[in-house]
Amino acid sequence: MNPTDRKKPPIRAGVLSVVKHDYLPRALAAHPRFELVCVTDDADRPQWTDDRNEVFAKEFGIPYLTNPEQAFAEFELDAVIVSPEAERHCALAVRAAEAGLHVVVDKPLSTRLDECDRLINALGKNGVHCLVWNRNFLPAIVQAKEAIDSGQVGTLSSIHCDFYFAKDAGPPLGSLPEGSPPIDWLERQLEAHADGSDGGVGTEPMGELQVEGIYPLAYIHLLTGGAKVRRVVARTASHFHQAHADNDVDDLATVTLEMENGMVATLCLGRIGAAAHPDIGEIKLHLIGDRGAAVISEARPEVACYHRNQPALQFKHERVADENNYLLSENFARVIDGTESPMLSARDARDICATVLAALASARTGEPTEVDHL
Amino acid sequence: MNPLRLHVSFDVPERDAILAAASRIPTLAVVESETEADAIVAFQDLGKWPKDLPVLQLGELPTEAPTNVYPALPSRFDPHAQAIRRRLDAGDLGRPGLARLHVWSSTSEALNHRNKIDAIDLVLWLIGEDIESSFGTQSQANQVIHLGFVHGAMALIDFYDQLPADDRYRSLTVIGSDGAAYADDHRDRNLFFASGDTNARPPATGYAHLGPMLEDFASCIRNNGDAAHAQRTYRAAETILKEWLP
Repeated sequence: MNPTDRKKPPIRAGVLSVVKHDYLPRALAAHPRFELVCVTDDADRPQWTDDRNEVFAKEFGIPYLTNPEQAFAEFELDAVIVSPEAERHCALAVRAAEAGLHVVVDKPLSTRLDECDRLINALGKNGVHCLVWNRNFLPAIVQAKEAIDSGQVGTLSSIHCDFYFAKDAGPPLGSLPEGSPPIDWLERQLEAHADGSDGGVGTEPMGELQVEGIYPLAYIHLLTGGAKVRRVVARTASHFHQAHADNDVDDLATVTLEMENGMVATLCLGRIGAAAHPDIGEIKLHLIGDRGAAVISEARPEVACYHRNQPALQFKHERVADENNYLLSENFARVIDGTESPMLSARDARDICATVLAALASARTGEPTEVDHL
Repeated sequence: MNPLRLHVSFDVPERDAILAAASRIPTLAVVESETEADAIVAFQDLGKWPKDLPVLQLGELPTEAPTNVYPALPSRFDPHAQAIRRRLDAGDLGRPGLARLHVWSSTSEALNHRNKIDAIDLVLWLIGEDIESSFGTQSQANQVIHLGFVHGAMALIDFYDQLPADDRYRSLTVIGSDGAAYADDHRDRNLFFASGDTNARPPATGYAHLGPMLEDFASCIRNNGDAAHAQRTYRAAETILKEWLP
C-alpha cells in the first residue's frame, strides 16, 4: 500500500475526551498525517475524567478545554478522536459531526440504534466521515481477507469466530461473602483502568457482547463483504465475574447468525478470566467456502518468550508485526482525502449494534430474532 | 479375576485395529466365536446376538434396540476429550460454561449421521447438564447446532464434510468458570514441505480412542452397567440431530 501524500498540510485533530482508551489518539499522533492540537471534554464531567484528560494533554503539550464547541471553533480542527466513557461515544461523535468534523471513534459505537442513526444523519448532512475503531488490519485478518479475495476458499458460506479475552473483571462470581453489596460498575471499571481492561468504562453497565462484540462482528462484516445479518439466535450468561452478575450483563455468549445469500456465521465470545489463557485470549476464525476452508489464529505472527521472573500477567506469546493502529490511521487519512472508505463506518457499526441488540433479545426470549436494519 | 472374553463381529469396520487395541488390555481376551464370548462388539444385525450378552454397538442404534445393547460413543474416548474430561473432573476448569466443537472431514461417509450423534453426545457429556434449548441451521456446506443448558451453559457444534481427501480436522474448546481447555488440530499440526503445497498434518491418533472405549465397556459390564442409561444418552443426542439436521 502506497502511503498517502505526506506533503499535504497536517490533519488537525482534537482529542474529544480520552478517558477510556488512549491508544486511539496515540495511534493518530504517531501517524505523519495527523497533528493533535487540543484535548476537550464537557465541563460537567466527574473529576476522574478531568484528571485523565489533563494528564494526556500535559503529556502531549497541548491545551485542555472544558468546552468542546469552543475547541471546535478556536482550533480550526479537521477531525476529532472520540474516546470518552463507553456510553458517550456516539453522542460526542454526533456533536463533532454537526460541527463539520470528521470523526474517529472508539468502539462500541453505541448500544442504541437511535443514537447510531443520529450520527449517520449528522455525518451525511455535514459531508464528513466516521471511522469506528476495530482490529480488521491485524495481520491474520488481512491474511484471511486475502484468502477470500484470491478465491482460495471460494465463495464464503460459513464463518465461525471465537473471541475470548482472557481478562479478569474483579472478584470471581460467587467469591464475595454472602450479603455483600452489589459491585458498582463504574468503580470496578476505574479499578480496571490500570491494566487496560476497562473497555466498558462508564456508568452504564455493558456486557461483553456490547463492549467487545463489535470486534468479531467487524471481522465477519469484512470477510463476508458486508453481508447483512438477517436473524440471530443467542445464549448469554454471567458465568465468571461478580461485577457482570450484579449488573445483569453477560460475560459469556454464543451467537448464531443467519445472513443474506445463505451464509451462516457463529460467534463464541467471553471475558473468560486471566487464568484461562497464557495470552490475551483465544481468538480464531474458521472459514468455509465452496472451494476450501481455512483456520486462522488472530494472534499470529507471534514470538514465544518464557523466562525467569516473568510477571504472571505478561503474555507468554508476544504478537509481532501488528500494524493495526498505523493502518487504521492511514485509512482514516485516506477517508478524509476522499480516496477510500472507512474500514468500519458508522453505518457498518450501526448494523453491528443492531445485530448485538437482536442477540441480546434472543438470549432473553429464547427465540430467533430478526435484525433491525436501516 | 478372569479376563472378559470379547468377540468382535467380523463385519465391524477397522476390526484389526479393535483387535489390536483389545490385545493390549489385560482384562480382556479376544475370542473368535460368540458362543465363547462374555460380550460382543458389533456393527449391525443386532438381532443375531444372544440376548443375554452385552453388545457394544458401533453402528446406528435401531429405534427398538435390544436392552442388552450399549451404543458406542467413541468421541468420549478421544485422547483430547479424555484429557479435558480429567481436568473437568479434577475441578481445574471450574463449572463448564461453553463448549465449542468443529467436526470437519473429507467425506459425508466419514461424517455420517452416527458420527454426528457421537459429536453431539461429546458436548452433552462434557457440559453435563440437561438441555434447555436447541437450534440448528446450515449454509451450503456447513451445519450448525446451537445448544443451551439448564444452568446457563451453552454450546456450538458445526459439521463440514468437504475437506481435501483423507483429511480431518477437529477443534474442541471448553470454557469453564476457572479455566479453559483448547484441543485443536490447528495447534497439533506439523508442517511438511515437499513438492507441491505445504502440508500441515497432525500425528496419527485415529485409533487412540479404541483402547479406552473397550476398557470402559468391560468396566461397565463388570460393574453391572445399565445399557438403558447408555441408550438414553445416545437418544438425547439423536433427538437434537433429528430435530435440526434431519
